[in-house]
Amino acid sequence: MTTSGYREIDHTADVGFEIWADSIPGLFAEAVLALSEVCYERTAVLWAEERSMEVRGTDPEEQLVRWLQETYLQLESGLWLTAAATNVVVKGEMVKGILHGEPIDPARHTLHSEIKAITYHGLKIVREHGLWRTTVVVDV
Amino acid sequence: MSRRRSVRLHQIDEYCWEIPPSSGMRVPGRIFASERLIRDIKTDKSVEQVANVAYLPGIVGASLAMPDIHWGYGFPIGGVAATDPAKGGVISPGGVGYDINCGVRVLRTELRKEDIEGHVPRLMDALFDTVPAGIGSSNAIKPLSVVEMQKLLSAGAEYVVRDRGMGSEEDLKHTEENGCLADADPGHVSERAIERGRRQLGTLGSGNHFLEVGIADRIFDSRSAATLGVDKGTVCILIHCGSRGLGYQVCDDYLSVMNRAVIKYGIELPDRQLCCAPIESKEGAAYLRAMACAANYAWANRQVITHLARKCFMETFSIGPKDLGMRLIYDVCHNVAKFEEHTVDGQLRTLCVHRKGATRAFPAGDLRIATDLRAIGQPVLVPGDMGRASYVLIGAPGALKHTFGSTCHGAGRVMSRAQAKRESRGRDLFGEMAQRGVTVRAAGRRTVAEEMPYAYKNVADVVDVMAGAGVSDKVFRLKPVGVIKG
Repeated sequence: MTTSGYREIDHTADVGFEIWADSIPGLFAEAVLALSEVCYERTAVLWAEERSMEVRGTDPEEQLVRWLQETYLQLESGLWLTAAATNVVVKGEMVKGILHGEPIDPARHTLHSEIKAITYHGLKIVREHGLWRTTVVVDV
Repeated sequence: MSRRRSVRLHQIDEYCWEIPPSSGMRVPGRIFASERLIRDIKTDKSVEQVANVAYLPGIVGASLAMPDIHWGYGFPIGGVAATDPAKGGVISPGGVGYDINCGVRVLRTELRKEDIEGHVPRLMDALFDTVPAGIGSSNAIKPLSVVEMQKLLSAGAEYVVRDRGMGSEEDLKHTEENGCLADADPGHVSERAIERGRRQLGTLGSGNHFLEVGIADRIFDSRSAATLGVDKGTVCILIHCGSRGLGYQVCDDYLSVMNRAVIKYGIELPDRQLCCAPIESKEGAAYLRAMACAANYAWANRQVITHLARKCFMETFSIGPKDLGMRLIYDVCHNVAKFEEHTVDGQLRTLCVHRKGATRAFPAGDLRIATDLRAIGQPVLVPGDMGRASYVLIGAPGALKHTFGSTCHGAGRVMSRAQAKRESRGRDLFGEMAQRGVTVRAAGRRTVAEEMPYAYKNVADVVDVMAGAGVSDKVFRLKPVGVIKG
């Protein structure tokens, strides 16, 4: 298994992802890639612009939920697609990083599904065999 | 994700299976299903979720599941739980869901099957152009100001009908709670939630939401169907959507509040998504006021879509409102928590009934039903998948005895979205639907792939269980001819 990545898992009503990385910031960056797969064809999104993002949460699970919610709102409210997240820093209750992406261009971008929320269902960030892992269920 | 825990299940009668209480469960779990449906139900984690809901403080009777139950988050989809505020009962946002007051309305018209033959693709194009669907859908009407939003959140569908002229008093009479939950207080809704809602009024969204044109092709109860203005060949419209980004944000905001509340009140739960607070607490009261606002937004949303659909039909067929006769049969919510009086062990109690993917189904004679429908019972709208059929039912006396006045809300998924996408590879999905006689217009192919008929249980099996259990009865069936998906 690679040191970071994600894969879709079967969930009856919604969409689930197993995500892993060798660090917590890496896990948050991978989670952004997984989320984008639900909403649009990520490979067509250029790294044309940068947006700084910062969220707060009382534990790693709440931080991850808010990090992904904020990423999704770039799309719903700002019609802006995220290609990737870099420079992710987790310090105390705060998570910050840089999103790379561009505004929606209907001629180039294929949109898939809206999401309603990032759920807490079964959400637990754990360290196993030297990797950080979690499973995220997204309500669609 | 946690490993699956073993949950015992035994049959107590032809249509009901019980999970006996084990450690932490305050009441048993009860699942309504047939032999055939229970086999599918056992294949995912939904049975475990029924058991988890039984941990909620103040839960009364049993943690219930309707036959369209499937694996959700926290609560199963198809779950019903009644809690007693007088006995420390809790309110759980997870028992309502992110899409607060997701629901369905069905409208009938004076048009007959033969009137629309040959015109369905043109009609669906017009509806697809007029009712925004899909990711980020917005601007169906001019965005509302913050002041207008506050009025809407307080008054629900009434605001849209009375202040904006989009609909009639008749529409309000045939909407559950007349389209407005009391105790809504916009002061408990965040600025972000209001901002998300301002531009999305009158939009469908995506996922399993849809607008469908169908024909009544089977009548099971001609007296009730006649009361609803339907006979064989009547053209009807179904609208399935909810409170959009505003409702999702309200749920998100209050999950954070509830996560702290479970620590404050010492509540132990098997899944964080079930987080909750006592109804009588400050946190519980605030959520209920915000939830009522989101419920009101959803009713207003479906009312605006109704207004847009009426315009589309009149323009497409060059007819006026009288000839169109598009009247609301009923509007039900299937993601909500409401205070209702129910008799438990011979005592009348006020309970908070959580319905997460379940529909209210009050029987004939119930004073909470609109007067012109009281003789037949409350209509219940059960959409199936987009290729087979949907059903209109009415509540039956067994609903008040067995399910706190609740019944099923849809077909229920049987296949994961990931598996449905795999099944669809290389297939002409739109062509397959056209062969079934259904014109599909969609914002994205992937949603259609996830929502193909093979991903769902047969809704006929689901409604038959509820009829067999004496909970709700079939009135008529609708065969889809055109569908808009997000």
